[in-house]
This record gives sequence, structure tokens and C-alpha cells, in this order.
Amino acid sequence: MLALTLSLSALALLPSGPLPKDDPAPVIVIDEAPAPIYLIRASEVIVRPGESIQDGEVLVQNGMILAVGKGLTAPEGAILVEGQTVCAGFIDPWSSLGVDSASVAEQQTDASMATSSAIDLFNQDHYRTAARDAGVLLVRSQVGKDAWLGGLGSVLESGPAGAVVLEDACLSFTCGITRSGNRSDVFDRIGEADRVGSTIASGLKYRESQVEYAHELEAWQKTIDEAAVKLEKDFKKAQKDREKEVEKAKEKDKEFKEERYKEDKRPSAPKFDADKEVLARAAHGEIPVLVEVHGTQELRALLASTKDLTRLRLMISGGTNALPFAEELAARRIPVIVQPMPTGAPSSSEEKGHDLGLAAALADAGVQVLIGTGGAVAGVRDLPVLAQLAISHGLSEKAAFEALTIGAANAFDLGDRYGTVEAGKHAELLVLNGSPLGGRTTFVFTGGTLVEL
Amino acid sequence: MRNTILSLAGALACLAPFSAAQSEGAPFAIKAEHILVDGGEVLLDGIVIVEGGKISKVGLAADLAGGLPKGMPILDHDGWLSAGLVAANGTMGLGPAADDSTSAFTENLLVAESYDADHSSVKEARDAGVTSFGLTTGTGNVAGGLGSAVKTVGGKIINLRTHLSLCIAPPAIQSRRYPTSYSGALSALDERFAAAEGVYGAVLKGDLDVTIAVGERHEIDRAIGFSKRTGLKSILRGANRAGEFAERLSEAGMSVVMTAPVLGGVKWHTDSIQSLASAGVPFAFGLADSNAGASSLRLGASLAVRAGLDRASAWRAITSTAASLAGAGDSVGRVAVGYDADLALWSGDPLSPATRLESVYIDGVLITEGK
Repeated sequence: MLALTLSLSALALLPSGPLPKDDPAPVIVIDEAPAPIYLIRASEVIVRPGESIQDGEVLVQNGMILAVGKGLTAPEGAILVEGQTVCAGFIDPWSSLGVDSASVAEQQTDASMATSSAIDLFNQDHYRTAARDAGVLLVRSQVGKDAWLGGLGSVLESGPAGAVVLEDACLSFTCGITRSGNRSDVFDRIGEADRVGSTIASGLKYRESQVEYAHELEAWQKTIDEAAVKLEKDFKKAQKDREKEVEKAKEKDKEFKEERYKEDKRPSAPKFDADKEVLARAAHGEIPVLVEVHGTQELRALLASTKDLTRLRLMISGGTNALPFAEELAARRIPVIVQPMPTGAPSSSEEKGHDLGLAAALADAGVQVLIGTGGAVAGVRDLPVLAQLAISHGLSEKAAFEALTIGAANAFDLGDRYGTVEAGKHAELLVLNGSPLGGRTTFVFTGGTLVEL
Repeated sequence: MRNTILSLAGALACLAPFSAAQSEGAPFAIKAEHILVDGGEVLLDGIVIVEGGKISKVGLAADLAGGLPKGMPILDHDGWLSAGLVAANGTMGLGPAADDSTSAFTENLLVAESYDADHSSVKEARDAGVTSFGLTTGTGNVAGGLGSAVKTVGGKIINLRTHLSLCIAPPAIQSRRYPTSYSGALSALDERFAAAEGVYGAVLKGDLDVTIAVGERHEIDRAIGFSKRTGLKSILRGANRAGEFAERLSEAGMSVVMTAPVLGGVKWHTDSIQSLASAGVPFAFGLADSNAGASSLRLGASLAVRAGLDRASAWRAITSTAASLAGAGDSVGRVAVGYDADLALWSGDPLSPATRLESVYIDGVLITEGK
């Protein structure tokens, strides 16, 4: 929203012909028009789930929230936007919106493959616009959506600009899912879940070798430095001793042999491995690991294979049969992204996971529940409807709203920038004519711009 | 269940267990915070009185409650009450019997004779709040047979012969039997309507409706041409793109049954629905050509509203207009005096996906409870 204007008076200073080489460059004055300030006034400002300001205001400038409160006065020239409700924009944690479709379908992805490098802003415009207009302002998109190891997922703005908000939002796996219409046998499916733990653990070894190298390098450097000091200190005596030895050799008509200083061998660095680097970050909890898994046996194998990775931040998507594991999921603080979507008769075992009651049942058991659209780009706009369907089967409205806002933001370490309506956070905001999930979006603030719908 | 059972004040001695009373066909009443009468009309704090399986009175509780007979059981529902949903068409309970593939013309086949009300698909419909639907054939025959209007419990037939089911699309036009082309199918139908015998004569006389299953735009175009030629006010079936022909359909007095919008569905579908609504073409949602399940009916109506359709049209598409197009518009699809007491109790606004179905009554009998 930065308006740049050339001042006419400055333009008048410009010479009409070509500039002589030695002349100083002409002075051009650029007036930066201040970015507009928006005052959003609403009957209800939902600051965060369960906390609202009645008849409140939000001040926005340059894509950031300046202030939130009651009775805020509009600065001169502020643009007034009014509505029934203001809340944080929704986040779809399970999507492939904005990403080149071939990269999404890719099965040969590896850990370091980044979704942010596969963004395609020249296709699917209508899906991105529909998502934005429905209030879904951020999406976690994923290359290698159905691959066993899908690579790094990214969080993007859903709208036409498609800006990358977070490049390395998570490391993605899928275990035992139906791929290209084929479902592998049970041993292969369990094997996939088993290998998640051991693969991530290989990152630990890589990190250990790096740490070991750092220590060895430090020790080597210390030895070298000590030797240098000693050599410096003994230099004059050593020089005299050498001169004597040279003299002696000459007298005896012998060849002088230079005593050579033996330096400790410099430790060699471990070979750089981009995949292992990512796995190491995952193993140390620096990025979350998101695994799509449905079957009971696969879930059991996954939980067992990752149990000893104490710093791992595991998340599950799908979770068709997650309920029997709810106690462990709650204890290990493993969030589950569900996709509450009626499908009629399920055509694959994963679709049974569209059980509308799963979200409520997991939430009741103390599991953190998130809601996602499952990766089909056309469905992103329906995220609020999926949340409503989960509500119809027992999930509380507060939990559903949290799942779509601050819950999803926190899952990807974005909670300090997105997910609530607070001063200092990004103004990814919705203005609605009703409730956040049931109302119609009338204005959207996203990526520093205001869109009127 | 958030319902509480009340009896009239001062009539404790006559207090009757609600469920027992209503299941025996005795009169009862339901008070509800919201009663969705039809379209967009909502009664606040209303009451519905049911006698003999029919709705005998509807109005504000304040007006009617005082005049109720002593001891009449009253269910107090703190949510919404509406008519049971109606699917304008469906093949639930038919299984493979929806099509008889031996011939392209099985016009005398009476589809109700194959209806199995105990089939799981009928139960699924009931659990989604669908209390009646237009039982129709599949689309494997050019003239598939005669459809009926049925209820989703007990195999009750509302109207045995409602419509002749035609299809001028590939499922019916096959290379292995006559007719093998659009022109062949239309020519064969023209001949039969020209002869005006049997069911074709009944259609021409207005004793039966006629549905024409189509899909592609050129098939809709052919169906409009055929209807104009024969003077029939046909009901297009499965014509999700019909909105692109809204003006011509309106001129021809035709109606449309389409599948309901689905999650992740295409925009042209909801655009088409809005075009029909704007042009005043009667339309309703059906289940016969959908594999999304019975719950797609109400969800589809709410998705259409999210996409911009007015609430009244969306609601009628799954109740009163659906009932009319299914051939049962005089008895189901509305909360109105004289209509069957096919009622649904909801936790909130039935056009919100967040709302849960709580109870279903068919002919005044509680069928499902506490969902």
C-alpha cells in the first residue's frame, strides 16, 4: 500500500538532454504517501477464542494491527470499515493450494524438498480467490502430498498474492494411505509407520556427528593456538639452536636437515546432507513432523517408533482410528488434524475418517483437534463448513474456532504473528455479517490489502 | 435431547408419557422456539398440533396452547421444528432393480413394486431427516417406467403413479440395443407420444408428470426442444447446468431436479441454481443421481445459501418444491394444516451445517430420536 509519487518540482530539475558524465546525478525527491489507516468497527471483536470486545474497534496499517480496544478514535484520514464481527482469518493446516499440481502429486520427494520452491501463482486463481473470500487466509500447503516422505510444508497466503509466510512449517509423511487407487498390504503399511521413527532418528546421528565435529574442531584449534604461542615464545632460542646446527653441519660437510613442525591433523567435517539436516531439525523439535495416518496398526506402529524421540513434535492428520489412542495422543500432546466431511458410502478406508464425530470425541478425550480440508484445492473454501459439521456432531464452537485460528497458528509456530486479533500481529482479519463460522465475509484484510466482498 | 415434556398446567393427574401417547396415534403437540413453516417463514415460539398423523393446527403457542384439551402431551423443543426433508427423487431401496436393462422402453414398469423400505439406503435417508422422496428409476432406459412418491418408513406409498421417467443421455442410449443415438431416442419417443397410448397418453392428458434425465448442455437443449414439441411441462432430472437455460425453461414452464451442491464442488453448479431461482424456474434437489449420500441434501442447501441463494428457495428445494416435483406436494413438505405430520426437530437452524438433527416424526410417529 506504499504510494510512491514523484514530486513535480523535482521533475522540473531534470535536464532535458543527455547528462554529462561528470555532472552529479539530479536530485529526485520522492514523497512517500503514508499507508492508509483502517479503523474496523464491529459489534463484536473476537480477540481470541472465548474473549471478545463488544462494540470494539481495530486499527490497522501496513498489514499490521496497531491497536485493539473499545472507544478507539480514528486518526484523521482513517478509512472506516464496519461489520457485525471481526475475527482472525482462518488457517487450513492441510492443503495443497497454490502449489504446482505435479509437485503435489510427486511421489519421489525427499526431506529437504521445499513446498515454497513449488509455488505456482499462475494457476488455480479461482480456488485461491474462493478460499480467501470464504475467510481462509492462510494455508499449510504440501508438495508430495501422498508421498511417504513429502518434504517441507510451507504456510502461504491463500489469496492471489500467495506470499510465503513460513517456508519450513513442517516435515510431512504419509503412512499406509491409498496412493493412485492402490492400497498396499498391511506389512508394508506398518513398515511405513515403523520407518518414520528410524528415519527421523538418522537425523539425530547426523546432528551428533556435526556436534562432535564442532567439538573436535574447537579442540584442534585450541591445540594449534597453544602451539603457536609456544613457538612464538621459544622462537629466538630455536633460531639460535638452528644456526648452531647449520654451522655444525657445514663444518662436518653434511647436509642440514630442517626439523619440521608436526601439526595435528585438522578434523574433517561430516559430509553435508540437506535431507539429514532437515531430519535433524525434526528430531530436535525445531520443526513439527506431520504424519497422515489412518489405520489402527499404522497408528500403533507410528506412536511406538517415535516414542523415544523425546524432542519430536509429532502431529497427525486424518487419524481415522485415532480414538483408541486418544489417551497417549493427549499425554504426548500430539494434535490431530481431522477432516469432517460427509462422503456418502466411503470408497476408501481413509474416507471413513471423515466421521463427523471424530473431532468432538478426540477433543473430549483431551486431544488437541485441528480441522483441515485434506489437500484438495477446490475444498479449501469449505473449511468453515467442515468446522460447522464438526460442531453439529458435538465439538464446541469455541474449540472449532480455535482449531481454525490460533490452534493452527500455534501448531506451526506462528502464534506470535497470526491467529488472534492483538496489537503487533499481522492483520489477517475477517469482517463478517454474522458469526465467524456461519456468517458471510464482507471484508477481508490480507497481505496488507483490504478486499471488499 | 434437549426436549422436555410438559403437560398442561394444572393437569398433573392427566400427565401422559409423551412418547407412549404419540406412538399410539393419540393427539399431541410440539412447542418449538422456531417453526420453519415453509420457505423463509419462521414462527417464533410456535406450536404444532398433531392428530391422526396429520397436522391439525399450527400457530403461535401463545394463541393455541390455552385451547388444548386437558392431558394432551406437549413436547417442548428448544430448537427448530420443520417439515421432514423431501428428496425430489431417489432410488433408495431399489438396489439393482432401479434399471431393467433388457429393453430401452420399460415404460409400464412400476418402480414401487421393487421398493424395499428396509434397505439400508432408506434408513440412511431417514437418519438424515428425509421423510419422503420421489422414487424413480435409474437412467438405463429411454423410458424407464413409472415413479412413485414414498415415505422412508414402513414402505408407505403416498402416490403410486407420479411420473413417467425418461432419459435422453448415454446411460439409456447404448450401442448394443436400439436406439443407439440421440436422434433415434427422440424419434422413438416422438412416435410413442404421437400415438398417445397407455402411459404416454396419460402424460399428455396431465395424469402423470414426465421427467427427462439429461446431463450435458446439448441434452438439456434437446429436452427443451422435445418438451416444446410435445407440449409437455417436463421436469429435467440431473440437469445441474440447467441454469444456463433458465429463460427458455421458464418460457416452457419446465422444472428442474438437480443434485445438491457438494463440498469442494464446482462454482458453475451454484451459479446454475441461482440462475434458476432468479428466473423463477421451480427447482429442487434429488438423490437419484448423486453418490454423496442423503446428508448431502441439507448440506447442499446450506452450501447454496453460502454461495448466495436466498434461504427460502434453498429450503423449498429440499421440502415443498421437492415434494411438488416428486408428486406429493399436497401432503408433505410443509408445516401446514392438513399436511402429514412428517416433522424434523433440529438443534438449531436446519440450514446451518452446525445444526444437528434430533428427532424425526413420520405420520406423527417418532421414528428416530437423539441423533
